[in-house]
Amino acid sequence: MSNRAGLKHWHRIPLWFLFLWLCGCASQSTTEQQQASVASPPPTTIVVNSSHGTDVLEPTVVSYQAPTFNDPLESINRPIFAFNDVVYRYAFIPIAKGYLAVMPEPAQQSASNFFANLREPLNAINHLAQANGSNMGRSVARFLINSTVGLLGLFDPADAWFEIKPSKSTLGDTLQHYGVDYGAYVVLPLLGPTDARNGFSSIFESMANPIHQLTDDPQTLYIQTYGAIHGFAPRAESYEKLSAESEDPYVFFRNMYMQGLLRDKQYAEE
Amino acid sequence: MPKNKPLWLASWVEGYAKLIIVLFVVLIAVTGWFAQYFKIDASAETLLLKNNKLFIQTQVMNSRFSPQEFILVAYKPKDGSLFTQQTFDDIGKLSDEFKQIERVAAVTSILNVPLLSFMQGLDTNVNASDWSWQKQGYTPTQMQKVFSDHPIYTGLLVNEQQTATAIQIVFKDDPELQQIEKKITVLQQKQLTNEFTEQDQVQIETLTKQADPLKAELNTLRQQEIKQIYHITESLESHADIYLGGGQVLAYQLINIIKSDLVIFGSAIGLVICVLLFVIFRALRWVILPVLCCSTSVVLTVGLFGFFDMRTTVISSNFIALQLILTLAIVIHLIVQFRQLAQERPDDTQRQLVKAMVSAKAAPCFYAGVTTSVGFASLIFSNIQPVIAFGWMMIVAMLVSILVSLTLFPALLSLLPIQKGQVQQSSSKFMERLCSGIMANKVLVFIMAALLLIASVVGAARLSVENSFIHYFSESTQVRQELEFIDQQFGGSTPLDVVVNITADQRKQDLVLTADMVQLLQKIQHVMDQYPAMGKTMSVVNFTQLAKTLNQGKPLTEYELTAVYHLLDKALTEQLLGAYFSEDHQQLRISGRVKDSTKDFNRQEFLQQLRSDIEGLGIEREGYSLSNLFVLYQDILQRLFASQVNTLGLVYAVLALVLFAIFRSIKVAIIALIPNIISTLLILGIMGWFGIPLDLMSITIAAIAMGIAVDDTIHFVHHYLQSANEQSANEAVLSTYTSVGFALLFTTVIITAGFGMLGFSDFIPSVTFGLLTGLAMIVALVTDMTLLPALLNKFVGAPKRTNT
Repeated sequence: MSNRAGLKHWHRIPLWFLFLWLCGCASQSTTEQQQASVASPPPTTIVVNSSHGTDVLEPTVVSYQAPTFNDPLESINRPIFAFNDVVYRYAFIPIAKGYLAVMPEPAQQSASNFFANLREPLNAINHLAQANGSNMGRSVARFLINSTVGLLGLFDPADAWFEIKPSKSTLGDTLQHYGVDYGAYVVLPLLGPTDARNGFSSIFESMANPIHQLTDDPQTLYIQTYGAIHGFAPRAESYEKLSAESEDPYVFFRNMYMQGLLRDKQYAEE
Repeated sequence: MPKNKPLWLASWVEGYAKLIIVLFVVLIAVTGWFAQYFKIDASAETLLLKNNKLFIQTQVMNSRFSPQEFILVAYKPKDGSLFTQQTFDDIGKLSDEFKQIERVAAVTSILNVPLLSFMQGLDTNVNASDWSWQKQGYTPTQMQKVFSDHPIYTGLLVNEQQTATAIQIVFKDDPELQQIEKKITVLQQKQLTNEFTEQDQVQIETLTKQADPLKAELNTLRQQEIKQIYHITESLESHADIYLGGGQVLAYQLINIIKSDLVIFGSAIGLVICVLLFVIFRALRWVILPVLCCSTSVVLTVGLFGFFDMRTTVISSNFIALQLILTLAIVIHLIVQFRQLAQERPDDTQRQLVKAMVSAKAAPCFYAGVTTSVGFASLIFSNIQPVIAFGWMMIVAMLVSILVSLTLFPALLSLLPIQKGQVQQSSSKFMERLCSGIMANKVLVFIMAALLLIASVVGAARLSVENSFIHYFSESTQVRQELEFIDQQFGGSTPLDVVVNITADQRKQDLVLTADMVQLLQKIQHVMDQYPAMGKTMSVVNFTQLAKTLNQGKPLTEYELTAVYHLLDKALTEQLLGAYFSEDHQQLRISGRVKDSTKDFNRQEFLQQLRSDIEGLGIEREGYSLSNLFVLYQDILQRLFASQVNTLGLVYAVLALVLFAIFRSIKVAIIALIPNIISTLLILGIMGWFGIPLDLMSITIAAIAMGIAVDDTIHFVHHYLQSANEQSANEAVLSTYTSVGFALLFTTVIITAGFGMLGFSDFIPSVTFGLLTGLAMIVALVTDMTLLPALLNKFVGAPKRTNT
């Protein structure tokens, strides 16, 4: 029964593929055009010439300018962003604030542990797909320990007692491992800023989440909604403050997302 | 030269001796009362030029970035291991006690600073104070690790070798004083744009008057606080070395050493002078009278300074010593003259002898005093406030000295009973031999003088100017070791800031700071750090470095930086970054401290090099500014140095005019000028050859040397010209040698020996001052006893008679 409940969502996947493929194409064609100009990431060193000779420093703050990234879907993204903004402002943020005020800190931690544990099988599969055996083993071990001794994942004895550190891996990481680029910048309804690769990964994983095997709708939906609120809550205030500080919040959040992505890409390679 | 002997003065002094003494007693009482208002201001501020651009700029920057006043207390465990429970206990105990001091705003130590490196990743919801030793009780090993190469705390709270830790005691500002100073700065800022009006000046003066008592109160408070801090640290001396550092501690120690020197060496010099006076003149009266005159002069002068609110600074602090020298010189000339008269006229009464002494010596003594004053008056044109003040002070002091030695001394002397048969004229054989030797070898003397002059000029050209306050203390002293330890281990002493302006094209919409800007700042800071003399530098970059470590070694993006800036608690951002970044003025500040104790440090070259390095990074000269105390000190030193040449030139010119006015002959004036030129240049030359740099305290040495030398010259020339009226040139020279010669010799011996005592001081400027002054006296004596008579004999001869 639970299997069927999970499968109910699978038929939507091709549609998403189509959507993301389109984004990917759109972004690719433009990046290729611009590659001719300046698309290479900035150097990871700063060279200083002085009377004391030449020194090489590591930057502490970096920037990635257009055209290292672009936003071909801006015309679609902007309305979604505006829509999200209204939803956040009038629903999510008040809810998140209330949630944080009501939930005691240990309970919040347990909730985080619970959702993190729930996706350990996904971590394991992704590690496997990336041919990382030891990490896969760790994810499996964590899942087994925390689901049992850790009381359905509410606690993390795997880390606390056995010192098995968490190691998250998503479909996005696997795709990246196989050379799939991040694609275009995308603003997903409700979920907010992401890129094509990660957006696809999130949606796919939310459908493939083991929760579908454990519960039925509408419980599954409730749990996932709760998970979403739990995940969003700590960021609610940040979103509010930052959008108040910026003249064009759309550009601000986009640039923040894309620069972070490019920085991670550049500095992960080293 | 005027022949009318000041008989009127002689008879007046002789006739109204008692009245004069009574008048002086009244004067001493009055000025003695005003002497309590006399102020010694050793603070660095008095050395700074208030009306110049650099000073105003620094004030503006200070009000913008409001750096706090602090004292560093370094704690160095004797057993060598720093991160132990014992250390934590001690630091905790010290911090608690320091907090009890009223004006203390905060005590920062390794125990209560936020150690964000313990955080897993960057979290803007952080409550920074949660991550401290106090809250979390980290183990010694954890603490040792976190303070290794910490981007912010290494070199600030823990030294690089991890052998000592510092506690920073931060003091509250006086809000009222701060308000007044802000107003003054706003008014002064107008000077930079030429909108300054007379009304503004009046307003500044009113405000300064309001601020003065507050400042004085603050200074007393600071002294007490430092004493209290020393007292608190005493309890831990058994197992740790405790060092104090910071600008206020330096000022405290400076005042302490100047005061103790004044007492110890003041009495030592006094004693030596008394003993020598007795040895030379063999009579108690020749000890008591000069001492009475010297002390009267000093009391009157100090009282006048109190009345006119003229404050002594580091530069003018030796005015008392100088006044003693100049008073003593006049009195010794009078004594020698008196004894000579007593020998020549055994039948005269005491009062007749006094009258004769005054009428013979009043003119040269008066002229000598006036010329010395003129020498010091030239300092008024130096355009440097503390030097101008010194010039005025010396003029006042000189006039007082002349008045006292020409009225009080003879008045007192005339009331004493005559000492018959006691006078033993010192053997004049030495003088006679010297005289004939010089007269026989005039050409040799001229050649030697010429060579000396050349050597002096070459040496003077090698003179450098360097000022290290820490090097003011002798190497063997505890204070020097303490200050040097903090200076070397905890990031330097003298503040030097680089303030970078963010230009319009360096800004981006919605970003607090762009990555390019931070990287540019990082480059500038790196360049600064390359100088060995540069201590700890702090800027926004240190915080981005910390953020980078927290971010698993990945740099932040400029958007993340902006997000962190906005998301952190406003008070925390202000506390962390307020001193380094002004969003309103779009300026970034790199705050640094220069290690004052750096050996062989050429400060001027350092500043020039730093400027060219910064400009080499592509920043326009208008795009940044160097400010704070280091720049201000350097500026005033350079001005003083440059003014040496101008002032000396002016002194020579004015002196030539005065000499002409006195002697009414261009030839004599020029001849009298030559030994003085040689004396002053020789002192500078010797300093140049021996590599003794001029500093804030020795910068007036040329003027002092001149003041001393010109005295000798005038007495000598005056006596020679008078004798030459009645005798042949050779006889006149001999007569001058045997009378004035002795006075010069005695003065030089007494003063050189007395001030030579300063050579034993632990305060280097005192040592330099004592030895250089002694040297100046000897040089003046030698040139006035060799070159001057040779020149006079050769070129002047006997004006009223035909030369034999």
